[in-house]
Amino acid sequence: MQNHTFNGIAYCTSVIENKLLDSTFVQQTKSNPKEFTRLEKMCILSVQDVITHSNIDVKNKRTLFIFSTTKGNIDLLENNTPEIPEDRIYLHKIAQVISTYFGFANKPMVVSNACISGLLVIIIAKRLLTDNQYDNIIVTGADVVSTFTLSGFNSLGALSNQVCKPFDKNRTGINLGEAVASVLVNNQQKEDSIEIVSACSANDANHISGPSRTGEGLYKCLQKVLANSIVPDFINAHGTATEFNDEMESIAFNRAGLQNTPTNSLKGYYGHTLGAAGVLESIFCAESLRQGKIIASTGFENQGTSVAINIITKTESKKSTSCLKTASGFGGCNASVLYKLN
Amino acid sequence: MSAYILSHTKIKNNCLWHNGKLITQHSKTDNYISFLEESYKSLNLSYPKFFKMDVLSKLGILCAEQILVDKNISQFSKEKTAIVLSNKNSSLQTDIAYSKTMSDFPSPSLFVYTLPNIVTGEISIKHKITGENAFFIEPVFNAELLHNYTELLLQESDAVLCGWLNVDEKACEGFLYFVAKQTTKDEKKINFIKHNPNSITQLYIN
Repeated sequence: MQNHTFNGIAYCTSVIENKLLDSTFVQQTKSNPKEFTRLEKMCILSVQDVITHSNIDVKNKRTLFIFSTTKGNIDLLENNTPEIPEDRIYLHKIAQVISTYFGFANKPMVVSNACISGLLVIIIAKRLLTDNQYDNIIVTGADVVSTFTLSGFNSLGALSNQVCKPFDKNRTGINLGEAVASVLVNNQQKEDSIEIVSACSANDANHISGPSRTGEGLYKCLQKVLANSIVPDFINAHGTATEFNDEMESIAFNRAGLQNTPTNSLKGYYGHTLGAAGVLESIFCAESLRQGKIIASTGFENQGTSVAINIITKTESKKSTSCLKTASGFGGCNASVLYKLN
Repeated sequence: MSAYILSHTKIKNNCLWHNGKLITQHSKTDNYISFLEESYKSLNLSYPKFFKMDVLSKLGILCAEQILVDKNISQFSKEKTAIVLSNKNSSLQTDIAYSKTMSDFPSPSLFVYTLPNIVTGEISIKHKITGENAFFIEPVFNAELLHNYTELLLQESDAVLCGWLNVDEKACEGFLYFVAKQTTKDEKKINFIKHNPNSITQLYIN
């Protein structure tokens, strides 16, 4: 996380250096970095990593690529990049570029559903696999920090000028971050694979840019995903560090009886990565389960919500077998997934 | 399980159709924004918030209104009704409009509409629908995708409001339809259309 200023406004963000991205891209792909946007280069590196490690056949008709993003190549609206064709502003075009690069047999699926996008594509992948439509699904969540998103969140007064403090009394808003995260979802159970036990989304039907005061949509999600009576060992919350989000989440967790469950938000480490957050943070959930660790919710000092929840303040070894991941976004959308270590 | 399309609306070429019947038409203007606002007035929707919305949300609200105020449709559980939408342009027209304000006075009221699923939120708020959500981006209308995901959702949901809402520089195009796995008690009042990619495509084209 680093401090910057933009149009005289101080903010804190976590970004990937262009030089490092380009050199890694050239080294790993032997392709021309000028032919791709920053976001696309990050996507190609991320998807390549999943393909290499899993050895799956992208040319198989039973393999699918699902791409999620909120703003895609939105930086093309401002930057003059003659090497990049104009149509790369379209989200489906980005997915097509990545898909063509690897030679996927199937046409990619593209989802853009605000800040639940990343978690929603995992939910969609689960449904497609449960119905046995595919053998392997690569799910990618992607968003970069752009002048567009910085300006927008700043216009809403939502940007913090220091490292964000999810659920803390002195929280002052979000830090934008950027990430591309990919996971492989399939029906094969392996020794350390993480099971998607249950998953759903729901809408607040309350406000387009603020969460429900009573956490309605998130509470509905929690009721559904926890209906099988597994109590999660910990929760990785959305925890953006805005006043309203964190307040809403703590209310929803209380309503669902989860007020004592150890809870973190990791956005103080790398910021809010928008459409990537659901995939990125699901990976952290998986690794927490695998490594038997729970991670401290950075930035938290004093309870800052009207009802208390149990925030993790110290990273420690703790064997856990299940965890709940939640996300909420503009448009009143909410999603949650229950993960279990096999 | 059999699923049926119980109702459908379409906005194209400055005409609004509901279940194949022409509801409003404005041939005088080729400005689609004024068409949407004229339609709002002629339908007597008293929902002033409409004028604060971006074009994509206006389009969605007008299409959804025709379907959801119908007694045969409003009886479905709002909690178990999903909304699955799609388009090509995401929120691009509003993104461009917002980016033009950035150097001067960045407009928060425009910024909040710079996501495709805000229209999902607007429809949900107006009709109190709280079920599953998904917004797909496709280069062209894709009946197979909508059909497939809707059928998967209907394993847990009672009904799905689906469709395509797209806005570009020159035109806007909306097509929404309501799918349910249960038939209503009042069967005679509605023409049931079997839910399959073919029937969806036919409704979209015709």
